[in-house]
Amino acid sequence: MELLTFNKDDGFTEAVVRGYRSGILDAASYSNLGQCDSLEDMRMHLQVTDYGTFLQNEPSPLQTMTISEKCTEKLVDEFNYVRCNASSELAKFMDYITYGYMIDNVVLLLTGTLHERDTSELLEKCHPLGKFQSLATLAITTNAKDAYRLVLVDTPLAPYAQMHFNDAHDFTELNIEVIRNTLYKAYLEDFYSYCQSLGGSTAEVMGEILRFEADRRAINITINSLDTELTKEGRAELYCNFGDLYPEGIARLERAENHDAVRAAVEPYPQYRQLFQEATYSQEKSLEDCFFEYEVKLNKLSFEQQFQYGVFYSYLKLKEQEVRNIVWIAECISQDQKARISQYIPIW
Amino acid sequence: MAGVGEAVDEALMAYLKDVDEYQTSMAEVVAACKAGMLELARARKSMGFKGCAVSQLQYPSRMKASRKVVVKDENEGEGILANSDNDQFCDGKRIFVEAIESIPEQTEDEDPVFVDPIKWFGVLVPSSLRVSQKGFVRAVESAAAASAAYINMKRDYARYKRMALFGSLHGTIVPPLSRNVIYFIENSKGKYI
Repeated sequence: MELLTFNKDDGFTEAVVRGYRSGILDAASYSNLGQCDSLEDMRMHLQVTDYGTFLQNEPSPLQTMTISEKCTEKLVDEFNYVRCNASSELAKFMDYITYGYMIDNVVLLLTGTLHERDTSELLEKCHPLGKFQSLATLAITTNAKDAYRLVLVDTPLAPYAQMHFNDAHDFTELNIEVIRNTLYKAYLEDFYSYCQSLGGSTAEVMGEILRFEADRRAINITINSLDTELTKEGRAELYCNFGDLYPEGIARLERAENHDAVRAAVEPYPQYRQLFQEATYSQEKSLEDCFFEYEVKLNKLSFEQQFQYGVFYSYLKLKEQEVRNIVWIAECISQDQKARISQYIPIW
Repeated sequence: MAGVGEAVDEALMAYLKDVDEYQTSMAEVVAACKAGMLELARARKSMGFKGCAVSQLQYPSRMKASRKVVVKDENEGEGILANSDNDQFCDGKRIFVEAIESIPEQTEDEDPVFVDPIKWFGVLVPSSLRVSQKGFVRAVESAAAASAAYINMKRDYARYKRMALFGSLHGTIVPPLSRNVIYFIENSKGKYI
């Protein structure tokens, strides 16, 4: 059915996104960037790409943080353009994508408030896709209960915070981390069930991508929580209730006490077994790099299917990977570590 | 007078040995900082934006140092050693870097809570950030060793100059090498000092 009806509402926006996709940097562009000797050279090489003259007005000397901010700004402009032209259903889907960035901004404000940073400084650095009106009010809250009551209750994050923000104790590094992961878990579960409710190719494409995201989060939480104050019971509450690893793999991850146990927990799943093997035998690639590569592969495959919303999500994720690559190359150039430049994740 | 010449040579050898130690220590500091910065960039890559996850925004407004430089007399008791391999000796003193959380004496008024700086960036941080932290800690420890080597180098250079001048004033034929070395050092615009 979507072949008959999709283009009526979303044909134009899908065409725009596919046009943006063709502007993603290719191997030749990365090769040129890798040969730059300074960030000024990078500015010059980026001018001939779809980025154009976006760094033209930035004063010298250029900083990697400036490049990162301007690349993100361009991505956000493109996303907002598509969002403005989206039909109601597609707009709802794109709004779901922004909730993840809202969670990041909430955690940034809470962490900054805990460390007594200036609120205006924090608001400047918030991700533009995740800004909402009452964000600044988070600076006056001191515990989770107040944060929910004063701020989150009127935001799209309210359903995610409702069950978990009952703690009246003051914020600490640990409970902010738990807040971040709890909100994100609830958000991912909601997004997944929404995509499944859309049905058709969207459910199929987004289902695979989000299941991988849930599994990746579970593995990363397990590995990063080893030898920290987060208990096994605490980390068990942060795993999503969907994904290829759910439920047997997740049960094994809950009991894992070291890196070998994590590896043994994912051994029955061929895609994760292969990622762990690649990370073990490669001196240059970490497990996170392997996850990023796999994510790029899934997002590229999303464009092989038409008439589904997955292309909008995948475009955003591929461009984010591109920004990470550009920033990595810029860092290697500014730190005089040219030997490491090739450790980015190529997209095409 | 032959004894004066030998003393000048000994002083010169001591100075050159200090220069070598200083350069080695500085190379260690540079290597540790470079490794730390690279792993920090890698951590930023994997943590992604996440609210500028690894940036100055996460620094607390009131930081506490986690390391301090301890200077003890060479003959003093062992005390607490952070890493005895990094001890440097300078002017009869032993210098080393000590982790503050290991200090056993604390008055009742002091706040005993110490927060590992890595927690500023979250509890579930990737391993690259932990490796970066270790690199910077190593850089701090090597910097203390480099400072001690620098002080030794300056002291031995001053001694060498005095010895060479004394030898010249008393008619000792100061070896040409020594005269050339003095000229090189004086004109190197503080390159080694």
